[in-house]
Amino acid sequence: MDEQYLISRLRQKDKVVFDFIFTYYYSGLCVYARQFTGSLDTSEDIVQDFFLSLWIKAPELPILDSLRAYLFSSVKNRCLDYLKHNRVRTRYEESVFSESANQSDDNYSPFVEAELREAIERSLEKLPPRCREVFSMSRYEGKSNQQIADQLGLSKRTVELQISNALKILRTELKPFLPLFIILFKIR
Amino acid sequence: MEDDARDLIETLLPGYFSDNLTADEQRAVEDWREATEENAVLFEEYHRLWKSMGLLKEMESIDTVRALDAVNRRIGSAGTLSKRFITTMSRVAAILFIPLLCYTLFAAFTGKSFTGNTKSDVAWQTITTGVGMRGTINLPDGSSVTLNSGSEMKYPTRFTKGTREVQLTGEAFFEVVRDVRHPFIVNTGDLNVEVLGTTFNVSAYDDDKPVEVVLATGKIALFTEEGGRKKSLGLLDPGQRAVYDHTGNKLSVAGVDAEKYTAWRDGELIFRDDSMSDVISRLERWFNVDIVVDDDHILDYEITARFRDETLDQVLNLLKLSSAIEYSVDRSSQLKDGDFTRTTIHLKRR
Repeated sequence: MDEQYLISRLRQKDKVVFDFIFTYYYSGLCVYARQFTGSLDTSEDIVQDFFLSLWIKAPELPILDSLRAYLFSSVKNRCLDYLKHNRVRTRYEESVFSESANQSDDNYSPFVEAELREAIERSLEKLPPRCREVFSMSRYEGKSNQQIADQLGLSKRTVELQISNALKILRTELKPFLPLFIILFKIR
Repeated sequence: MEDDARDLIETLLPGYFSDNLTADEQRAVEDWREATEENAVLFEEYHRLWKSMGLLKEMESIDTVRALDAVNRRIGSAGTLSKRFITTMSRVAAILFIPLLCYTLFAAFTGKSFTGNTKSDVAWQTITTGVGMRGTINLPDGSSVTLNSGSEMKYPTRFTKGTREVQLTGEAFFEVVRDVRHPFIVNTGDLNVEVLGTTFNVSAYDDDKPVEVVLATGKIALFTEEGGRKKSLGLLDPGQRAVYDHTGNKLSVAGVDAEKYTAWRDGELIFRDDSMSDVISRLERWFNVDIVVDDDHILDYEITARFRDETLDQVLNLLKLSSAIEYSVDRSSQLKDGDFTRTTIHLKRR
């Protein structure tokens, strides 16, 4: 429903809707493309080229059930063209071809930055504050347990316990979201 | 027993995924994973969680705004934007034209009514923009002022004293011509802004809201007046925003992206990680509507968006698409006495 609104506005070359779609999907599409190309720079080029042609050809946009699926599959096709064109053989390629047959919309959710962040943050919110801090330092800032212990004035054993608790809570909280990652992690 | 083993493994997993373990520890993790089917599944779940956070980190490293600029430049050079540019310009021209027309008529009218007075008397003019309107005025000294929606400014037809003084209610962007001997003063009732020659934005609506001053270029001084005594509150540098809270007489200054506060001059509404309550009060003024929040959780949302020439429906739709919001609209209706009620928007959580 909402997507149909976006599609019809896009066909009429509504620049704001275009900007919105771009802002919403760009980072995720790039990371998605990186799965195929292996390079984030190349992926950004491919995704930007795609958006440029999307804008130019907007009035001829085909009838779509899902804008999201269209964006991701178009970018994927461009990546495959790129690989073919440059004769790049990567270890991604084979599995990519075999996995791509029947993807539903949901499979792209991990590649939509806002949705992924919301899912992760919703889970992190459920953690006790200290626990969340330790876990984020470990994951987002790439600190070792010893570094975290030094910085927070805790023993290394406490840090390990906090991480363990965090993982336990996250495991239950993120469970419904986890199947969505399956496609992705088969690829890698 | 088994729980203990799992605890141990779970403490090791982050290190395992980030390749930070000794060979022994690494083997311990792998042994645990191979031990049972259940362990293997758990391991996979942790691994996905770990990677999903890595994915997010990677997405966050991408500069979407810069990329959109790059694409827009290419769109522009592809020549597809010209039609839109013209329609936008004609709309902007229409928006600017109405207040200018009001102003001309007003000036003609007041000018006439004051011709009988002694020549040394200086007439004060008042210029008002209706809600949803914007307008630009040129002052006698060559400075120019752009008034935002629902604002009012009083200024003399000639600046005679040692200072150039104007009074403002609402929001305005000032481009002040430099004149060291005649400081330019914007009086908002509580807070005064004194400048020599700069560009800056003042937001001082009559609500209980704090007064905001954002400096784009140059330098300005802020002061209050109590019983005819000037009390200096400090100086602003370009790119700084001062917020003056009249209830506590408090001034706080922070560095900001000045564009966000001045983009309204070009008919743009920019939000960058702004709280929903901020967004709501700006949308209310921009579209002349009341927005009622039926669920306080919504106020915690942060919004990043850029609107230009959008209708209210388009903006609401985009908000709905980007956050878990549902909205309903009570259109304005005519009352018995001929007045109209204001359109009211209700926001709910989805």
